Amino acid sequence: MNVSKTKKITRLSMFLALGIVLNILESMIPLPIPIPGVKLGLANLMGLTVLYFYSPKEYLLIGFLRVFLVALLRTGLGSPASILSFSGYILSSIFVLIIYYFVKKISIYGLSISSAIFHSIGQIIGVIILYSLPSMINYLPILMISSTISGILIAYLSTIILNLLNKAFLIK
Amino acid sequence: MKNNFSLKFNIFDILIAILAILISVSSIIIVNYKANSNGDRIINIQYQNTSIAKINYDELKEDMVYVIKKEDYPDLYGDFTVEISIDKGVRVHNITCPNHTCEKYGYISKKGKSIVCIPNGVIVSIESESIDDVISVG
Repeated sequence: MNVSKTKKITRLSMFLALGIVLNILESMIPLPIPIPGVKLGLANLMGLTVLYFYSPKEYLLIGFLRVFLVALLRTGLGSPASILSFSGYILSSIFVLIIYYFVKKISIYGLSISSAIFHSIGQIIGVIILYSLPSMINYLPILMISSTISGILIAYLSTIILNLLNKAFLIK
Repeated sequence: MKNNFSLKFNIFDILIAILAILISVSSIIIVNYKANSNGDRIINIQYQNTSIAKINYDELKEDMVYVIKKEDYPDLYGDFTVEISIDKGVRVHNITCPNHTCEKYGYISKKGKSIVCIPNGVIVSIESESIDDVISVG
């Protein structure tokens, strides 16, 4: 076993822990908008950082573990909230990977916006199936606008983190 | 660090953002345009996608309270109270549910507005009489 592998595992687990903490912090921030599903998506900050710092493989792993651990720690495994976060995670990951591999021209901003939008779409599909509320599709336009705004913010924060990380760890 | 992706905002990102906002704004405008058609305001109370009560808001004489009872609808967290006030509008109050998002809506009174309580599977929406006909035909 070499040192760099241990370093990578340690860093990934730090990213994972930060993602979980951000997820919990986010739920403590009260938003004045009475629309279910509108949130900052702070946890995606860690996802994007891992995707750019490492590769899609680590992105998928950290994303899955984060959703799994948050479900285990807070909402309960198999509870409606955990199923909804899984459905959002799956759809947004699929599209992030498609964009990462096939659309080379967009930057971290476009990737973050699409990730947020497809996360919302995944959650709405989840709500429609889970609660048989097809009229929830009416919320998609509002969620798309909020996802675009939060996507830009998260991408901006992520570029700051990535620049700092590149300065701090020149070797992976 | 893989440098195959840019960290700088470029024209493709702006296109994606504009596309997303255009799609959402246009669909909001279409939905509002449809909702603002003529006819009385109908308060439609839905439970798991089936309408359980329709109240004509414009013909209402006095304030009323509609209670969806847990005995009748066992998937509810508790009795679900819809308060209908002629002056203020429609609101849900003292709801038993995990997140209380629905109570934050406050009073609604315009067509096309709705209160959604996802955990309880209840939607209270104000619809137009004419739109109602369209839906029942389709």
